[in-house]
Amino acid sequence: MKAKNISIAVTALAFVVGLSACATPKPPLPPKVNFNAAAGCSSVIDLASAVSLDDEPKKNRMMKNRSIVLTKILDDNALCFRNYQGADSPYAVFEIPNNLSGRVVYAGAKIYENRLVAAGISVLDSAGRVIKTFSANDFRKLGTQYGVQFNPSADAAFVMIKANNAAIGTQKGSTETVVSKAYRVGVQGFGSGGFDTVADTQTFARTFAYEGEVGIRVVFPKQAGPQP
Amino acid sequence: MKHFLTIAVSALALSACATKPYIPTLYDASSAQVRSIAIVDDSIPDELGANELASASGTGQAVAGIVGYLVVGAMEGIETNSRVNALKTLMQSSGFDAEAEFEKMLSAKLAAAGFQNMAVVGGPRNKRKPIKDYPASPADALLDVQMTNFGMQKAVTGQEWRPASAMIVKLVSTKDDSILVENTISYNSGLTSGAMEGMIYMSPSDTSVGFMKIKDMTAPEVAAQMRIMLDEVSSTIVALLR
Repeated sequence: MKAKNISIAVTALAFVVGLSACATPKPPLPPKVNFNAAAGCSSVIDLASAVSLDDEPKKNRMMKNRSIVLTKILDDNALCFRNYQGADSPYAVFEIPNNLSGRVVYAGAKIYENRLVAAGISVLDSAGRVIKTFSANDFRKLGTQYGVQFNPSADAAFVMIKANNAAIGTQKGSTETVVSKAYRVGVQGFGSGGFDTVADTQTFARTFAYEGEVGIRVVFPKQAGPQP
Repeated sequence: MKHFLTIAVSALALSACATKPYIPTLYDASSAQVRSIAIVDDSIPDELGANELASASGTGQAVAGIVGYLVVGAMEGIETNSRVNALKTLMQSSGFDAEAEFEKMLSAKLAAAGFQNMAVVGGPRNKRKPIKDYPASPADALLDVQMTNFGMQKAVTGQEWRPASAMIVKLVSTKDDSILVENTISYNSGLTSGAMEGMIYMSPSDTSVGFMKIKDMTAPEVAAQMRIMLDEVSSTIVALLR
């Protein structure tokens, strides 16, 4: 009898713990301000490792949406670039989908609650030569990404996003109003529900860090010819 | 019937988001060859908005694409006459002329960016509709800031009022009316995440001053917060012309 009670209590406790585990959101990852490359660093950009449209299954290409998104996580396991002064930074290279007329490229770092990658962004030609590097003034909040918008020139083949060591640890503060649509189920059956606006204002202090998602988003008008 | 309409509107809004990305037109200094710019007049709505975002049902989003969101979707919450009037009464006596200050900021920043500034052109317009026939000007291009919303906003009861605005920015060639720049800027205007992709999204800083109630506001304080918004927005607009 006693044992059964304990068992019930344990089950109940486990249930409560289980519930609370579900209900409590995971604390966000702290901003990573030290970089320890897992593999060797090189001063040659590794174009062969570029993230490209070919890595994406065809069904995920969102051609109908006329928008292509390529992403990569920067962390200790990322490619490592060593500059002429011997400083190391994680980076990723993205191949800009070609054969798209009127394409506009967004490139940058995903904005998390408390952090984002301190992204330095360059455009490379097909041989990996830098043809354009963006300055801090070119960066804006573009939806869920902090980065740049540009029209790739004819010789633009890759975007390189490399952590900007000088900005690591600095912070960017903002007061943001986040709005979402929540579906309200109607009480009178089908047809009485609808979408409600849910809004909230919060203050954020985000730290520029080595870890997080970086990527490019390419949008383009309806194409006359075949799509990649 | 009304419910059916709501569902139809929602479905339309969803499908519009999913299929049509907003594609900005970005400035290309080498091909545009713009040396002088005239600002198109009447950029800011005359009436200040006083809007609470939450608890509005999704009206107005049948207008496809991001521009539709800007015009109708942003700041579409509860805007009561009493709030609008309270804010209007507060600001009327203050002598704060948002548009005059905004044009002055744009003018100074255009000059600092190396453009020759020409006289402001055009007259009163409907801020919710794009201009069809641009006024003549000796300038190489016209800077058309179509601010669809301007005012104070709070997310929900119990949170603070802060300045907000939403706009479509265009640089139009006077030679052939071609669009040299088109981009959209939302400043604290509380767009949904789907609409945010593709636009420039600005927010007040973490040290910005908010107000719990309109009756707690003083005109100089509101003007000061609005000046910060107009200053940040005008810097971003001129930065689009690099």
